[in-house]
Parts: sequence; structure tokens; C-alpha cells
Amino acid sequence: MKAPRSAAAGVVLGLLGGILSFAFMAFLFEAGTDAVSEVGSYMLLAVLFFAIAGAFTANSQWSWDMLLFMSFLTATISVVFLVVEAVDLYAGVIALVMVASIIAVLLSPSSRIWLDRPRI
Amino acid sequence: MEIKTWHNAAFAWTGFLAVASFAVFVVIAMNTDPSWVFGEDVFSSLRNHANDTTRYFDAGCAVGGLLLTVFGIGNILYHRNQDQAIGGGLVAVAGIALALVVLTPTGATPEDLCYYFGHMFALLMLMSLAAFAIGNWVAGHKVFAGVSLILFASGIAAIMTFDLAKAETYGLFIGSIWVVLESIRMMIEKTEIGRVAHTFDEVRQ
Repeated sequence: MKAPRSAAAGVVLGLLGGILSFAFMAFLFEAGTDAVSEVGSYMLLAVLFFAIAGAFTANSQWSWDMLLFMSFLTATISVVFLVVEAVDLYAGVIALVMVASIIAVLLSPSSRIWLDRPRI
Repeated sequence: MEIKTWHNAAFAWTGFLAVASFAVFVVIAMNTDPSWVFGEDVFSSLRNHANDTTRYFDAGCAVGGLLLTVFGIGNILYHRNQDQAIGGGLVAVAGIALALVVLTPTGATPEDLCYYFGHMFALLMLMSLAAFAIGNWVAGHKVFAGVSLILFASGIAAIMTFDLAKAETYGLFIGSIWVVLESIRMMIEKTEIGRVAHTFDEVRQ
């Protein structure tokens, strides 16, 4: 089965979200006692975004349900980090926009067919 | 019991009306008290007056609370699974807790019943958010479940980090958004339930 364009869009958005999280971590780093929690927050977001990007690829193992849940989990973590001010306001908002775009991509019928395809 | 006529949409409108009436009365109460600062003063301090401010705020709590109770009962009646029914029950009790604020004496301190009912309302709404997150996911309304999850987690985070006045404001904001979304979900669900099931037992399955 050929991967649809929505799957490619999901990979690109996931990678972009992960890279931006890393970039924000690097640019906003300030040495201090709070640095560990701040770096950890950005890295958690980056890991989740990269996991979502990987789930859209041909060899992934996640179903559509699982990927949608992980996307909502990423959105939840972004909102919680924004509320507790663990991440920068712009970084949190950008992460939310990226994950909302991923959820929009996931809701397209072609994404669902691609992710729920029979696997060996 | 066989359901002959489906009133999902009618019950869903009570959710919209609960949010609208509460918001309108509270905004009017805020405007009648220039000393009250949004996000800095707690909502219960709007009841510390002998003038119209207390009356408007009480009216918002009573009307909003009772409409929220009707909305919760609607969710119990027209549920797709047990989690949604439990969530509906929690919303109904939360509505009663909000309405009971009116019966408490004015000029409340944090030890008084007014605060108790207010905190009970917030806690029950948070619990119903969690129940609806699971129920909507199982029922296939994934987006509504996801939004419930986001609002639930952010509400917990707000309680843990914000002071009482800010947490109250944030909680009422996300609670209003959630009730409106659940009302929309209830309206959408009408045709689906009506098409696939005709009795309560079938709906439970």
C-alpha cells in the first residue's frame, strides 16, 4: 500500500515539532537549579513529537486509535507545561499548534485507512 | 423501557443555557461592584455586599446550577456507556452544589459552607471531566474525549499552581468551554443513537 500524502504531512509535522522543541531548549537554556526541569520538559515534548512522526511511517506499529491518543496526550502535556510555566509561552503555543495540525491530519480518512491497514 | 421520542437536543440546550445564564449574571454582578478585580478577587467575595451584586451573583449560581443539573440528568438518560452515565450523574450533583451556594450566608470566610459548596462543585466537575473522557473515547467520540483529557489535566495543573482566585477564574473558563462542547456532542449523538438503538438496554450495549 502506498503511503498517502496525509501520512507524509504527519511525518513532517512531527519532525518539525520535535526539532523546534529541541531548538527552543537550546536557545532558552539558562544554567541554574531550574535548568533540569526546563530541559526535561522540552525533551519530553521532543520525544513525543518524534514518536508521532515515526508512527506515520511504513514500518510503524501504532493503530489510528493509539496515534490519536498519543497526539492528545502531547497536547495535554503542552497545555499543562504552559499552565505551570515549565516551558516558554511561544514554545508551548507552537507545540500546541503543531499537535493540533497533526490531529487535523489524523482525522482525514486517508490517514485512518493508512494507519489501520493490515500489517504482517 | 422504550424511548419513543429522542430529546437529546433539548437536554443539550440546557447545557448552553447554563453557561450563558451563569456568565451573563456573573458579568452583571462584576459590573455592579467596581472594587472587584477579575482574576485577583475570589468569586465568593461578590456575595459580600448588601446591594444588587449579591443578588445577581446568587441568581447566576441558582439558574446556572439548576440548568446544569438538568443537563447532567439528560446525560444519564441518553448515555452510550456507563462512564457517560456516571459523568452525567457527577455533573448533576455539581449543579446542585453550585445552586446550594445561594442558601449559604453572605460574607463568607474560607471556613464557611459557601467555600465548601464551591470546592465541591469544582471537584465534581473535574471528576465528571475524567469520566466523560473515558466514556466519549469508548463511545467513539475521540476528539471530545481528547479535549476532555486536555481540560482535565490543565484544571488539575491550575489548582496545583495558581492561587485560589486565579484557579477559580481558569476553572470556570475551562468548565464553560467543556459544557458547551459536551452539549454539541450530545446534539451530534442524537441521530446516531436513534439510528442504532431504540431501548435503554440497547444503548447500554
